[in-house]
Amino acid sequence: MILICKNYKENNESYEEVIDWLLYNNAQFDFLSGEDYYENGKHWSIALDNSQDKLSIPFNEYKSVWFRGFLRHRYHLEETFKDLESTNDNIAELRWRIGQEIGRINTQIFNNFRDTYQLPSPLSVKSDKFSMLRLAKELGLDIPDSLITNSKKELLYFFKKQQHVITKPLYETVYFNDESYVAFFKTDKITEEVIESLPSTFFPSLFQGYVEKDIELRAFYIEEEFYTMAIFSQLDPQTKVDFRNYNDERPNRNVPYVLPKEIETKLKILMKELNLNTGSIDLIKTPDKKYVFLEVNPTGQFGFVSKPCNYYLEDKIANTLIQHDR
Amino acid sequence: MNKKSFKLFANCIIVKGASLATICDLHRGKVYSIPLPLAEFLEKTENDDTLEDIKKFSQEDQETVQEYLEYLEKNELGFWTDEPDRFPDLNLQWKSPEHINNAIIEIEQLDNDDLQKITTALTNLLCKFVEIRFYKTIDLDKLAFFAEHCAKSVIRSITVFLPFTSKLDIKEIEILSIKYPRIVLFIVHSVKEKNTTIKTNNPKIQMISRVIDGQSHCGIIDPKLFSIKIPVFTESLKFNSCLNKKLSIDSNGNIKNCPSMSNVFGNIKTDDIETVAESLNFQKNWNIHKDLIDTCKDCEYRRVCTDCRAYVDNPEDLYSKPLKCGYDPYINKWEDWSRNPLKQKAIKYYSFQEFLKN
Repeated sequence: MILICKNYKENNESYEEVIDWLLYNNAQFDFLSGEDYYENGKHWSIALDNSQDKLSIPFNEYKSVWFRGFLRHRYHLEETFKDLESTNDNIAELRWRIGQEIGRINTQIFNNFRDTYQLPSPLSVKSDKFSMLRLAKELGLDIPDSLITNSKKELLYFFKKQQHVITKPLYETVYFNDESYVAFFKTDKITEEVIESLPSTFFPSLFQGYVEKDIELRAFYIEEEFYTMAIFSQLDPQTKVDFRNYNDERPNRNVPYVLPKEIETKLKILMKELNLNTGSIDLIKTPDKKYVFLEVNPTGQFGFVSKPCNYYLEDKIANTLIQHDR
Repeated sequence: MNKKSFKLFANCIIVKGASLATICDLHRGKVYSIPLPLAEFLEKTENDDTLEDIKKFSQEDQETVQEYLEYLEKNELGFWTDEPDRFPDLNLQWKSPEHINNAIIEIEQLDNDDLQKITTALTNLLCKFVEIRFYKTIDLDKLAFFAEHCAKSVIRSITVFLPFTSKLDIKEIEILSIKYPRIVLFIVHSVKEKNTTIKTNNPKIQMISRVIDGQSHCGIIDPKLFSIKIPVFTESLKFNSCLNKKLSIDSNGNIKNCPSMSNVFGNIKTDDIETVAESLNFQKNWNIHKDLIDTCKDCEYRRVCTDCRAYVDNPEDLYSKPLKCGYDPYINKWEDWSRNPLKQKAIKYYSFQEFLKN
């Protein structure tokens, strides 16, 4: 039996299409979400003593796990927090603590997958961007010049050298919705004016030299194979910095691409080191034909690569899960 | 300077016809007509030294080719590269995770037992799209019964055709559209212009004046109906552009490829729908792809066009051109098909058929 691990609140078409292929191949599958453990009132326990280590919800029947997500902490115990009367500081601290507790409990739940095929292992999906860059550099891949600093002086120096600088979160891109505005935690260009407006020290952040692009590349990696797509974002000023500023009238050209073998070899080692058997790898190809590694998204989207390149990744994923379910 | 090749983007694909070619832009959904010699040049030069290739033309032709390449580059159909091998052709494989992709149900004469059989079969066949047709009468309870029994299916959308009658209750339809989100579109047909008293803001309900009171309205071939997409293009290489993975149940419960076709493969009262749908006999017409069809095989639009096997130029011939197509790929002209003298015999034949049925 295949187990699909996901956050029930999140849905998208390419995910649904994997399910279609599982159904078409008569595969048996179940769903699991953090909500089953934290929200629906089902009883469960993890017992560890001198004679046993077991989770009361049995996992034995599952041979193959597809990990897409589990739980969004921020919705958690919402009702309890609504009625809580305390200082904002206390509530913020409590929320953070609960998030940490959930993280530890999840690790113990995931521990029960250890004898199961996992695509990918949930314990490997949370690495940070800077560590990935360091590893990539060690493997001889080109990376953007990167800097974590809290110093205006250092940042100005970096800016002078790089000419173009971006900032991005070390962890995940996220946005905050308020009634009147949406605030993003995302990749953004930093201008000299922005730097001038900063105090002499500020909250430490990640900065990167802007990499000149010929094309952007997205390589979907699954079990040693690469399905790469070239994004011609440079034809359109609107998508030059980040192709996600989609132009719906005239979408960026997306076509299949073949990475050089030596780049694929290095990326394979990188993925092995990160203990990832699948993921979406972001790269830039520069006008002087260098391949610059940016990051890996272990549970990234794949539909936008699969469809324009006619790769049938949904079928590949379903097939990989089925093969390991025997 | 390094040698550079001019290459079309992998999802902009050349289709050559008898006297013109097209570039099918499967990404942005557009078709461009180009002269055949240019198509041949583009195919040849894509991994070559294009500037050298251009020099092989006469002075005058060189300029024309240059202009065309500029046009293609400006419209983002092609690009220059010194690494053509890094940009492979699109994989033209086609497959889909369903036994039946779409179904047409003429629902008026069917009872709840029939509908239950149909929904069970569509669920097991992993059907994705359903079209329900009411030609002359409306029975919304039947529709609700059908939608209710699709709950466990993977059906993505249900489109419903309804006639405009005095009994039409727009409120009821609005309620259904909310209760069953899988019903994505209600098309109320036969609306006369003076009947504008009925109004709705529901975007799922559309009013059209066309009268759709029987099967003979289907089968029209028109550039407006072109579907310029990767799955349509790749499916058309090996399969019929209308009938592949289609299942129809006509008003008598007959199991057919298409309600407008006379071939009957079984009846839901006596036969198991799934067994019929999975039989080789039923699936035979699925394989009549455009390269086997008269005239279509020479048409530059054959990879993005629809097809019709119900109404064809020569009703005796399974591989005859669709009757309701007015395009001539040998002279590249669209004309009104119904006035074509060569089609009159077939038109008479089908109206005679209609007459026999009534």
